[in-house]
Amino acid sequence: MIALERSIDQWTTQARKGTLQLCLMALLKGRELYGYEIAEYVERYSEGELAVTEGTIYPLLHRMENDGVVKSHWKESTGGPPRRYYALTIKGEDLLKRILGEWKRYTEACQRITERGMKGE
Amino acid sequence: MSEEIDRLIRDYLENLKKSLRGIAEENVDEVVREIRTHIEDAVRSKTEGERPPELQTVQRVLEKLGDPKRYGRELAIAKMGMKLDKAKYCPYCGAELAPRDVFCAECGRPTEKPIGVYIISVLSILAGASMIFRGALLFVSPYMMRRPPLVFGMENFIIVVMLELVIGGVLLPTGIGLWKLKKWGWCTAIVASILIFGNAVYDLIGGAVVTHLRTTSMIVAATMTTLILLYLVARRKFFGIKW
Repeated sequence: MIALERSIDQWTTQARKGTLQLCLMALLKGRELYGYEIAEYVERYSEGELAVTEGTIYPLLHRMENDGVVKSHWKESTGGPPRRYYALTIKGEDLLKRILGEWKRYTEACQRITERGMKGE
Repeated sequence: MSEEIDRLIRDYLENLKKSLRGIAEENVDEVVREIRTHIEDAVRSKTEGERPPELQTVQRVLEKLGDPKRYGRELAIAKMGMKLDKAKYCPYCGAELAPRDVFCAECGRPTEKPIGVYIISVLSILAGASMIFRGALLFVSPYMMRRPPLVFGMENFIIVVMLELVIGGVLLPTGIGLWKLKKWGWCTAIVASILIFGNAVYDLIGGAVVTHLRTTSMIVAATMTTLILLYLVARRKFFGIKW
């Protein structure tokens, strides 16, 4: 039973790691957000299902910046301290479009396979 | 903010700083500043009105942000950029490994062979193969030359050939076992080393050694096997041996 729980955990962690970047890029489409806002959106839009440790968002954002997918800058904001805002670069927008296409095809294919598998076809 | 809350946040950021040491030296301050703003934002949004924040609220915020020590690890992976896609996995249990892990955090097996094990296993394979080759050559030489072996009597001849073949036959698989980090490889290597060591010492003390060259080679053999024994015992963990 413990082994099963661990397998589920491992699978979910792996699946999340791959998809979180897609979610962050989608959130940043056409607007700039700072880390805390992104974390809030992730939680609100996923209705708590994607309960990521907020700390994992920052390293991911920094990696994406390294890769030239997002860019960041510090900006004064009304009613608060200066915050580091993130936005998609042109490369990021292009990447988002492509990954979304891949994602759609991939999830649909997976769904077809798992549905048929469960029916024992 | 109360002193206690202040200390809590300070400790968290201090740990974060520590975990970033050696990983993101150039922008530690920026990361710490960013996380500090995050904490402040989160605490503010969870504290309604003007009330000062409670300790539990701050604790929950920090909990949600995750272990600050893990942050450095995540960032280390992130900094590796593309290398993340080629993440290392434990060859034994499949768990993902951090970039600098020598042992798997899940099953405790080593993620790569130490260089000394490579050297010993190659030496063992070479010695084993050459002994088998020599034994085989010795065995066929009288037939090829169509006369009985010159140096030894027939009995000694058979013993020498058998010894070459048997020892070679042990050393060759031992080398392979060491290369693959197998437990049995480690055990046979230990036994073989002890035997070779014992033989060398026996020859030295027993006076069977007559020439300087042979004395020297026996001393070298004894020293090398001692070193190999010590090394293998020290590296036993790599073979999954626990004591």
